[in-house]
Amino acid sequence: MSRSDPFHRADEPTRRAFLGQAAAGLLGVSGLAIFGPGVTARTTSGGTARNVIYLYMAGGMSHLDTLDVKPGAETQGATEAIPTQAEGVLIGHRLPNLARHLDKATVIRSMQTTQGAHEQGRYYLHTGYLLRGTIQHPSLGAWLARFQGGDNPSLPPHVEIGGTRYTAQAGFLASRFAPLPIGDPTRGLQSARPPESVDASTVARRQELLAAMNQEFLERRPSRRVRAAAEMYDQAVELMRSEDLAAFDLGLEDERIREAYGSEAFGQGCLLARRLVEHGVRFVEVVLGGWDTHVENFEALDERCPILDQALSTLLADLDARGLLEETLVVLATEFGRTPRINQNNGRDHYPQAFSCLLAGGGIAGGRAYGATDPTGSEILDSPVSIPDFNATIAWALGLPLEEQVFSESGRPFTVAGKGRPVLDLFA
Amino acid sequence: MSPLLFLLLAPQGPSFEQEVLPVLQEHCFRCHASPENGGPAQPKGRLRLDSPEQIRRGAGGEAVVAGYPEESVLWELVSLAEEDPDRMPPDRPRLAGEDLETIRAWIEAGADFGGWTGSRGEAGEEEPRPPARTPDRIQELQALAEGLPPLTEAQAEKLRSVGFLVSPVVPGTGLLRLTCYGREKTVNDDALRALRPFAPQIAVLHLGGTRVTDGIWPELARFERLVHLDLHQTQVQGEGLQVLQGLSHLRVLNLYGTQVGDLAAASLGGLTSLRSLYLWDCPLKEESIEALRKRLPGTRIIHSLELPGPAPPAEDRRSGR
Repeated sequence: MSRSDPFHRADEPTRRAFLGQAAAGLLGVSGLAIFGPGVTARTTSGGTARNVIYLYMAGGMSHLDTLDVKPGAETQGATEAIPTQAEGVLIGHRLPNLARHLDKATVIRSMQTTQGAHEQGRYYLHTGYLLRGTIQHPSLGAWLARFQGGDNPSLPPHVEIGGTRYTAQAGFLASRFAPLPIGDPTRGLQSARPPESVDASTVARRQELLAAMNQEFLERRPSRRVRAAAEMYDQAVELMRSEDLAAFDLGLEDERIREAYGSEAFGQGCLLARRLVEHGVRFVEVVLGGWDTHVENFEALDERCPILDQALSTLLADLDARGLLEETLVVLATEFGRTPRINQNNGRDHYPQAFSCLLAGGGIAGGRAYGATDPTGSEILDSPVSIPDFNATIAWALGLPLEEQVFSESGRPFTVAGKGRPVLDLFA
Repeated sequence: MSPLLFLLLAPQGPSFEQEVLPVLQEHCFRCHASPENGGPAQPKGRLRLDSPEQIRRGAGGEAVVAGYPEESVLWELVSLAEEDPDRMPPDRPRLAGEDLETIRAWIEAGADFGGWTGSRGEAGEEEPRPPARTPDRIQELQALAEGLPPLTEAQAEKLRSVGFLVSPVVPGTGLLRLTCYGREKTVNDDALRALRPFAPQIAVLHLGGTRVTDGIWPELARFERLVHLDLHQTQVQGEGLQVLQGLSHLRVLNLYGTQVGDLAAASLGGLTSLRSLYLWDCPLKEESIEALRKRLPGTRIIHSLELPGPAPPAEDRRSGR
């Protein structure tokens, strides 16, 4: 007996997921969800933010060299501390532009995780649950899509740029909550437009033909799922004609702004994230790899940090100028930190005990550091924040019901952030 | 049916009452049974294991799928690895090998409860967690949402029909956030007039990129709970925006990319309730911005976009090692 549903599998082609989501939005399903039974007076969630731009630093970003510098410590190595717009908050010298925008952010220096290997750590960070063979958990963007739906009926609520295994995922939720994956932000949405040889009338004719065939099929096999599949194609054609596709086109952006984000895929991904949020996409993850600095940590950071610095500082400035930081939570996260001890290869190894993340906008207080590590960056002294707590904080900001149980196909109950509790002191 | 045939077809697995129930009683009932069976006042995870109905019902899906241990939550959770945080029972050693085998074999053989009826009673709800300190911004919104019942689906549909998607600002209340992403070109001053019945309960209104003009100001006077008004990249020039002075809860006003100029600056100066005022890419002179800053000392005024210079080439970035 198989209890799996072929239409609701997480490993389905993701374009289908996207179009399915579009269909859901246009059919008003997401509108229903807003007022569904899940929203009760018992809900304790806040709702200071509407959107999330989630910047995932894959590989484990060294906290000592970025957001939690320890000037004078033997463990510091070739990283200097520089002052920032947040009074008394110092960061690593490779992030000079970010330093000018820390008045808009809170640095969390008391992050901790239980997972010290990359895949496990990445999975835990994204889902709040441990990686296991028996079940796939949803990431935050999928929970958001599940509970609240999108804000733009013709765009997916959840997009991932440069993602990899165990980043954003629908898990056991229906595949229409999976992120739309974008590989190269500068190339936009591939195949969303018909080839030039196919003109609008051809599309219309083909669509009529398809409709006729579907009609026959539907008459023979009247099923909700068949109908949904047929509707999905209608929505796909709708999307091809949608003006909102412009959201994916970085060519429409001012050249000066494009350059400011940096020419690397990550910077352009951040710019795309801003454009998508401007058009009502609600959760965008952008991935920057290369932080696994076991060998020559400082040289590697000389190369990585400027990419982050350029993109994140521009993103914060750009969102702020447009008023988007009011409702957009910017998250800078990584799966774990790196050892204070510098190894024989002049590198740093995995360090789950203590690391740093950053939150900005979406109701988060600006110009602060939250929590602290000891003078060597090894132990958390104050206000530890677990991965589930971190996720609960983001979920709370979005107004998601933290207590509401959603059941996996096997009937097990899960909540958006597991046993995590939101850190409300982070909010203004 | 002949006795022999009956024996051949009868479940061959362990007896529930004699073999499985004792394991559940010893290891599970402390958290997953009604009080009469030694459980807590509220069963953990809304799951009770002290009647066939409750086991079948599970906590929102069957806990046991007859014949399929691998699809049964009960089996999955007790058989997880020793160090897995989800393993049941928590904070105690994993069940002994023979107890696990008993459960597995019983499910595989069809999960027959025999004559056992177990306990009656309903599964309760878990205690909600105590609330933490609520941030000021949320407290303010909660106060505004007081007494506003959630929209009905018909009302939401009515708003959708004029181009707006609606969601509650405070979950479970009728304090509303309205957006029109993807429909901006259909939203004009008339669309705003269509919002009139809902005006007093709208707290967040996104009209960026729409076709609205200065004709909307008189209409906006009705939005007595308006907290966040976004008019970026619209045709408004600010003539008449002084009506916003009557909106005492207005905290955020976004006018970037509009033609709001020096003439409107005097009216903007009266919006003392503002926390943030967005004026980037507007035709306002530096002197007007300075004057505004003086009149609105508690307001963050954003009127420029300062971008970092292009990144230096990689060879200039090396640390002095």
